[in-house]
Amino acid sequence: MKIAYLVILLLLTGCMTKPVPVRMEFPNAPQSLLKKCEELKTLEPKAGGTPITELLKTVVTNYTMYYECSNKVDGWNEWYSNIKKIYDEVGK
Amino acid sequence: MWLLHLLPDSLLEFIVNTVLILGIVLTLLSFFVLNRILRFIPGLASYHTLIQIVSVVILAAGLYFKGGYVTEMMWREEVKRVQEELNQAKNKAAEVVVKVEEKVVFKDRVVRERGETIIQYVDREIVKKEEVVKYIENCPVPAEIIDIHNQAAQINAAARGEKK
Repeated sequence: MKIAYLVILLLLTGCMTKPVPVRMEFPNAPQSLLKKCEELKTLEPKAGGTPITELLKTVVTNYTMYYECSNKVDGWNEWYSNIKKIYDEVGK
Repeated sequence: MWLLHLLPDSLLEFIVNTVLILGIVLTLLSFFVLNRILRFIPGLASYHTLIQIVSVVILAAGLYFKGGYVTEMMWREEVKRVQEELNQAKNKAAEVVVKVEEKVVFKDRVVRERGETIIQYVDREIVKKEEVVKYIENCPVPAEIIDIHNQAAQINAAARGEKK
């Protein structure tokens, strides 16, 4: 009986599973997406009041910075969805 | 079975097939031929059962190794296939990186240029307009408004735990 157990155990070793020894590197992201978004600009109040055009220019600069940051987020989304699609196909 | 990785394919196949064929031949001989021969050799007749057991053990080992070898080869093929697919995926990913990089750089450049154009327009045209000049002279933006603007621009500082 003991021998039978040993034989069954021996045969079961053939059913052992193992991880597939493939090396997968994490895909690189575009360099421009790795830069942090800039801090929005503030305005130094001037004695006797600040001209409205100065405020306007700061707002325009901040809008510009917002859209630059928004482009980065869009870029990340596009990068992720494409990379996911590509790597989901592997091993199918 | 991981030890099989250390042997070359051809040597592995040769060993496995040799053991299997040896097992089959010995089993057939020991069960159907050897008993007729050993009957005439009294000294060896008692070893008949032992020879049969050894033959079956070799056959079982041969079958086991054959199964292991076939599985091993399937694994190696699978690994090769997945590795190739991963290499292709890596190349495609590199193309995506270039595509996204170019797109973001282009959009950033357009946004920056448009922003600069608007600021230049303000400096060049808007500040010269009579009603604007009059407005700037008569209605400077109070410091409180500038403070509120600055606070709004630094809202994120609160999320980072900085005191502004």
